[in-house]
Amino acid sequence: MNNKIIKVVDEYEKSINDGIIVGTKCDECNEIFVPPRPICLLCGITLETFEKIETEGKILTWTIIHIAPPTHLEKVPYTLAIVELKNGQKLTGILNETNNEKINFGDKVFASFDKLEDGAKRLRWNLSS
Amino acid sequence: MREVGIIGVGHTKFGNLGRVTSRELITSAAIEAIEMANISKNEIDTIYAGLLSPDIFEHQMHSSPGIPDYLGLKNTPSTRVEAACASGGLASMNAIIAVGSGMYDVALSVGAEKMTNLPTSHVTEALAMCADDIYEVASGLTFPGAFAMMARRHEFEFGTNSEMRAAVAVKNHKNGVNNNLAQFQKEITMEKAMNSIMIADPLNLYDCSPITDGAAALVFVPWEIAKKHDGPKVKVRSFAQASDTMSLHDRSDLTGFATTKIAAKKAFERAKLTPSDIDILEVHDCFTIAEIMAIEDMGFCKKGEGGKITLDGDTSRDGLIPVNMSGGLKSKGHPIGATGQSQLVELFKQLNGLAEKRQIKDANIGMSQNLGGSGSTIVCHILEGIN
Repeated sequence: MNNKIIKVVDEYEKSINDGIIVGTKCDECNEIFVPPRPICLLCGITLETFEKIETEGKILTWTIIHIAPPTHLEKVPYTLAIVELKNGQKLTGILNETNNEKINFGDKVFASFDKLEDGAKRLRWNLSS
Repeated sequence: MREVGIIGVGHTKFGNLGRVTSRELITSAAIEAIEMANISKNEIDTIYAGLLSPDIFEHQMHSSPGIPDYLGLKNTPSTRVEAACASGGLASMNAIIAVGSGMYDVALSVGAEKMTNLPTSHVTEALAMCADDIYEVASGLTFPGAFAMMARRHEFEFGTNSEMRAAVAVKNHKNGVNNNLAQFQKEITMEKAMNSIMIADPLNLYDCSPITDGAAALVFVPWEIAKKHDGPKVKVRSFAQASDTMSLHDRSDLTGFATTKIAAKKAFERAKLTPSDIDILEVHDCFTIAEIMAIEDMGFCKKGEGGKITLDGDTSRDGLIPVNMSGGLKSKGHPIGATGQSQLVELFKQLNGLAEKRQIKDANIGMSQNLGGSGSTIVCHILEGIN
């Protein structure tokens, strides 16, 4: 009987605070899931290995947010982008460019990690050029 | 499963309705539905209520017993169903399953939301909680933002531009003029639709559905009873539900919803019908791009052509497949938990010749698509008029 509680969110949040991004690795399929998932989408086994991934990727799509929730009101306007990482995983994060004309499909970006007021860090995408 | 029919519908005015609670709105819609069904309210065996969040909008959890309470029903089972903006459609689906299974003979499906209590930024936050809190909302994603990213990708891959999106808004506002229960009963011009304040670039104000109060209700009974009912009625031909990842970024396709494709396909298969059999469609146009993706994913046009056929008028009242004759979420309004029921109420009226100025001639089979989150939940229904 395995009484272990599955935790993937905590590992992910800790990794961001440490300035890296981790995913869960399936040792059977050699696939890394980011954000980390508890169960392999390919073979169905429970995943317990966390692995650091490359934090460079390209922009798949983006939006510039003008109407925000109270938590983000002071940031308006801000840009969010879905980025495809080098190994194909995808993540949503704030992009450091609010001029629409300067953002293009496929633009290369790299991750950085902003320190927030409460001390926690958050993922940010930065245009490489 | 035995066949199920609908014999009564109710629908409040949609809009900013002032100081009123969601259970009062539900009571209003339910009384209308019960009266049309010509049943005693005591015949109701069970209630399914679509409510996104009375918790946040009204500081009220455990909202489901409040419904039989206000209807004066003693001890009637009542269940809240929450699936983001698909709460209403899913509540109706559960009412159909409850009657279809033989467990109950009369099921009341209701849905409501009282949203205008909160300022826009707080409503934005409440709705955003339907996205993935860890991986999306923490970064500041909003629902207009999620659909804006899909709209931008759709434009990149298929050329679906702001003019095509505006054509959805203009059409649905035109339809809403003929719906006296709609929040907006006013036509808008293409110029106005294309030149408004940005909400989440590239989606502007007229690409987005409004913040709305309202409720809708339906009475479900076995088809054996419904077909003998002396009054308006429809048969439920089929329903289907599908789910997908919480986060938009976890999908391989950012220009449509696998959930819509799967639910629509299953609904067609269960009803032994194809898109060409459908006379009228009510789809979830929470944003203009959502209607375009819906008609593509359901198979009413090729992938990537939804914007073009809208601009060409194929989805207008005189077109090949009239879409959102009620005005859609866009002009009728989008009181979250009521939207799924509201779509079915519109189909019920159309299939019984009760849709007044917006009636589509000879409409016999109608289909709905109700969407929750960024397409993480989809519910489709197909209804048939029997006259």
